[in-house]
Amino acid sequence: MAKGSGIIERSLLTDDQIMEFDNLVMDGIDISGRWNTMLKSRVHSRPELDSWDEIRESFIGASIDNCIQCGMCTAGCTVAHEIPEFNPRQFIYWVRTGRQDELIKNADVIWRCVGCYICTNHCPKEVNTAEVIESIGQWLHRAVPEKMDDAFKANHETYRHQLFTYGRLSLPRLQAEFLNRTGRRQELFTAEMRKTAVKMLKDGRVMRTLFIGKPRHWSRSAMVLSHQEA
Amino acid sequence: MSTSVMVIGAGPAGLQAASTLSHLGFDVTVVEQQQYLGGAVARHQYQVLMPDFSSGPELLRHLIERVNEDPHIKIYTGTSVEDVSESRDIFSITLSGAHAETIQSHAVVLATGFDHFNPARDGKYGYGIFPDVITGAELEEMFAKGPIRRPSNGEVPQSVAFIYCVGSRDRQVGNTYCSRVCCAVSAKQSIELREQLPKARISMFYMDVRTYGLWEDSLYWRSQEEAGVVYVKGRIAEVTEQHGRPVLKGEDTLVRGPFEWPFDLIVLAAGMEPSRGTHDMAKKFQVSLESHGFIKQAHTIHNASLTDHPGVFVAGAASGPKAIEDSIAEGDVASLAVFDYLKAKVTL
Ligand SMILES: Cc1cc2nc3c(=O)[nH]c(=O)nc-3n(C[C@H](O)[C@H](O)[C@H](O)COP(=O)(O)OP(=O)(O)OC[C@H]3O[C@@H](n4cnc5c(N)ncnc54)[C@H](O)[C@@H]3O)c2cc1C
Ligand code: SF4
Ligand code: SF4
Ligand code: SF4
Repeated sequence: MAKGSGIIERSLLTDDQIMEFDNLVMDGIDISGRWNTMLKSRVHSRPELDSWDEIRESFIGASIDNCIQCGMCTAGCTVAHEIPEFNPRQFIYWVRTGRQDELIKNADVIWRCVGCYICTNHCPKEVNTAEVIESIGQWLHRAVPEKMDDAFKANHETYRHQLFTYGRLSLPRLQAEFLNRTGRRQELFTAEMRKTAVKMLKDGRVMRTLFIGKPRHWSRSAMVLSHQEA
Repeated sequence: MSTSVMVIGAGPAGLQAASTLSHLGFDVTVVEQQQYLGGAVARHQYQVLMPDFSSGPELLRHLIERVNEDPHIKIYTGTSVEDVSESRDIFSITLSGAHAETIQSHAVVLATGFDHFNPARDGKYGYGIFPDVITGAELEEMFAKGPIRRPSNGEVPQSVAFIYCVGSRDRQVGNTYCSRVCCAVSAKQSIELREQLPKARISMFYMDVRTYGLWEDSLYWRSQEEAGVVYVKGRIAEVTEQHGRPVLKGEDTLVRGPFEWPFDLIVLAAGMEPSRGTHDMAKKFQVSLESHGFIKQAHTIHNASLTDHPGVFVAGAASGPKAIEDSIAEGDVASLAVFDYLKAKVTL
């Protein structure tokens, strides 16, 4: 039976507000089944603020306290206009009001920021909104890694690996590694891909991709990065 | 020799100062760069004044008649200050323009006012690109000239949006202060609009509504209760155009989520900036500016009109955004401060 099906005005509740157990015995009384339907308290009573500290102390999240909640960032945001749940202003609000429950619930929404920086460019308070959202995203990576699905994780790891190895990104390499990691290697050899490969051979892009090179003194920068990573 | 004081700028603050200084026994010269008196009130022909809906032209008539009829006040319009030197507490001021002469003054009141923020400097509002996007000052001029129509096609607007805090409270444009009057002026304008446009949808897009003090119920509440104006909390990120109508792209931060709403007419509540004349005079008379570029009040609490240069006083919007009532009050404050300063030095 659907969750909470016995509740009148069921439409006012979301699934995660409803607790229901197939088998439950309380004080020796068996209340299995519909009898034990309970609602979680809707009152938020325990602000969790360690994430706020983590974010404001991070290099990219430091400007979070500048925010005046005006909504300019969401108003111009690329993703917000596609996904109504995506709302950088509100993510900042949740951080500052200790709503880790909401942040975690919406982790996969928050991770969808495309890094276009429109928000940062518009913000009247010079919040670096794009990077604050990234900082929130990074906190979520640490807090709820299990919420990242496999494709997401593979994508993440691919970028990280490429960047740490070469100090720069190349689209063909990114795509190859991503498909490799997700076990979709055969997609590299479709007719379309082969056509592209031939074209790239001819115009020389293949060479640039194979011998991508590294920035000057990359090993030193890499050391700093892996140090931060640790 | 009688004691003479120069007032620079003939807006509400300067006109009030001139009249009061004359009552106190000084000879006054008013120097105004424009050909007309009355400052912003005259320039934009404010018809109905915030907060009490009194008449703008009547206020001007009152202020101007008093100085015109006063034999101790000389009015120099179309005149600017060219050069200033100071010796033994007497300013020697060389004028250019209609009255090119040099005048000795014992004290100076700077009442050089403000300039409107030019919204073309902030590309996101489409000002100067879309004809139906106008400023609050331009709306005042529309009220003065005739019925409200859409500049693009002359039609009666069915929907009007006010965008608050344009050029104020925004680090991107460099103005981090609140302009203080635009919330209340916009509320006043919405009430006036309602009389002309009984059916139009009128919406205010705000970050905070700052109709402080006694203006809360008389303007903010009244605009909602009597004029049916809607307040939407959120800043506008972009104005675009669709089917010949401006479209506001914003976030309604209360219900959360972005919107794109078309309106027939957009009014930008453009803020106040220190006028160019204010900067010029600050330099020539060697007074400091505060961090936002207005003239610095040396003792804000003690006396609003003192600058950090003895003998130079300030009144009105030259020392920060303020309403007409405060500007006029400061005209009096500066006059008394001049009196206080000069009575120790000169026997009247
Ligand atoms: C759209 C809008 C509507 C408003 N409506 C209202 C309202 O309804 N009620 C209200 O209380 N307030 C209103 N205000 C605020 C009001 O305009 C100001 O409070 C008032 O004009 C300030 O008076 P002032 O004399 O200090 O300066 P101003 O009015 O700016 O006058 C300054 C004068 O000095 C002259 N000047 C400047 N530099 C020099 C120079 N170097 N040499 C010679 N002359 C110089 C200028 O030409 C000008 O005439 C409104 C403001 C805006 C932006
Ligand atoms: S635009 Fe800046 S100040 Fe406004 S809500 Fe977004 S981050 Fe906060
Ligand atoms: S950087 Fe992210 S949050 Fe900012 S506007 Fe782009 S998608 Fe939205
Ligand atoms: S008075 Fe209102 S509209 Fe004007 S700057 Fe202040 S808050 Fe913004």
